[in-house]
Amino acid sequence: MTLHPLAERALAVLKRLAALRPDLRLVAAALCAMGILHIAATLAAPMMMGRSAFDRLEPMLPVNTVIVLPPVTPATQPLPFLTPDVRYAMCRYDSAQAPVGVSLELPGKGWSLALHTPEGDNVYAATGEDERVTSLRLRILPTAERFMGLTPESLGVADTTEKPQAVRSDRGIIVLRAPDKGRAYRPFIEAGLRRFTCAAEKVR
Amino acid sequence: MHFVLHRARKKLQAIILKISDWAIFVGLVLIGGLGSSYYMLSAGNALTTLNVGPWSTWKHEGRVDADPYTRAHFARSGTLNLTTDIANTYQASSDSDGLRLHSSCEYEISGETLDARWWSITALDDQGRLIDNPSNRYTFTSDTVAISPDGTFTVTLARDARPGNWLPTGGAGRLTLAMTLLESNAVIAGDREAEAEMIVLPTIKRVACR
Repeated sequence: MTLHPLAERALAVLKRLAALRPDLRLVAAALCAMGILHIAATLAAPMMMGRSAFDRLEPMLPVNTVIVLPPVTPATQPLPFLTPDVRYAMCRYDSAQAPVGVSLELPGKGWSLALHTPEGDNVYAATGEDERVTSLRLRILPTAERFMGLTPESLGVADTTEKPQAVRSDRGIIVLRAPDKGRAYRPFIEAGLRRFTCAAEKVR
Repeated sequence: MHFVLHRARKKLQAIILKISDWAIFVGLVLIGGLGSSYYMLSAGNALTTLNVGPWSTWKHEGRVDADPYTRAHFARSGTLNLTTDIANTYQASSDSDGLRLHSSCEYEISGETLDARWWSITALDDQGRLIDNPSNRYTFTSDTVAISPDGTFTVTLARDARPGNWLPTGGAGRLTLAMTLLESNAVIAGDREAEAEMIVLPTIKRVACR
């Protein structure tokens, strides 16, 4: 019986594999090398896998400015899996030069606030409560240890901001999500989104 | 002369055998190392993902202490996810019988009102893009879905209009469903993982295919 040349070649490779004596040192070396490659590939993946959400959003978001996104449709969807169940207002913050003050309200259930670092970590999150308006004031401070002016307390001004949250990144995106309840609620939702402010503070 | 040629041939054969041994070794290492990494980033395993029927979610999504697999998975997808401290985002790309979701078929997604402060179900293609349709319907939320008097709901996924909660699938091909549960009583974070595994999520039943 004659075999197809490709089948013959495959058979030869199989015979060669069968002829390999199981050298335990070689098997152990192969497993070690596989493990090292597995770990290296996994750790390097975030740096090699194209554009992150931050990279994609950065061009459309001016720094320290709130942008209320239009309702998400197939034509306006800026990120994969960014769903139209909520309306979005975003602010790309950069606190490297000065603290960034953030003020907003979460007027009910379904509303949420999230601070995302460029790596995609959600370093701070808050959600709205039923039948209650939650007012939030945050201050994002530079991570570098340098003098950024006197605190409001030392200037004799009452500090109404929330207790400081340690955020490990000078840059990131703040996302306010508001549940899209339908056309009738749109003015209410948009008014809530427009109350969101995010701006660099003056250092006194 | 013949003897010299024979010896040279033998030597060449030995070199080729040695090279092929190394090629097999390197090939196996590349396939094993890169393949296992790719699998873990795409599908995850019991340590990184939670599967409830056809729905699956990444346990440490959006978290600062996320494991490297979760981190790489979301870097690859380019999505902006809420931390599992406040929300769980489940995805389904197959029905409850394990068959791939496709726009040529009609499906019924049915369940009881979900145990969360707010939830939503969205139909997308397999790349996470919304499906263009003349009705501009892409999602149902706990605020917009029509719920039966007995507390259950059914969302129909179909190409053509259907009565009730209808999500159009157009000609999108392979489909993915995304379900977000905000402040569910079964948040995955911390030591409440066992509770999260008990969560009851909607079933996805294939009704008919063209």
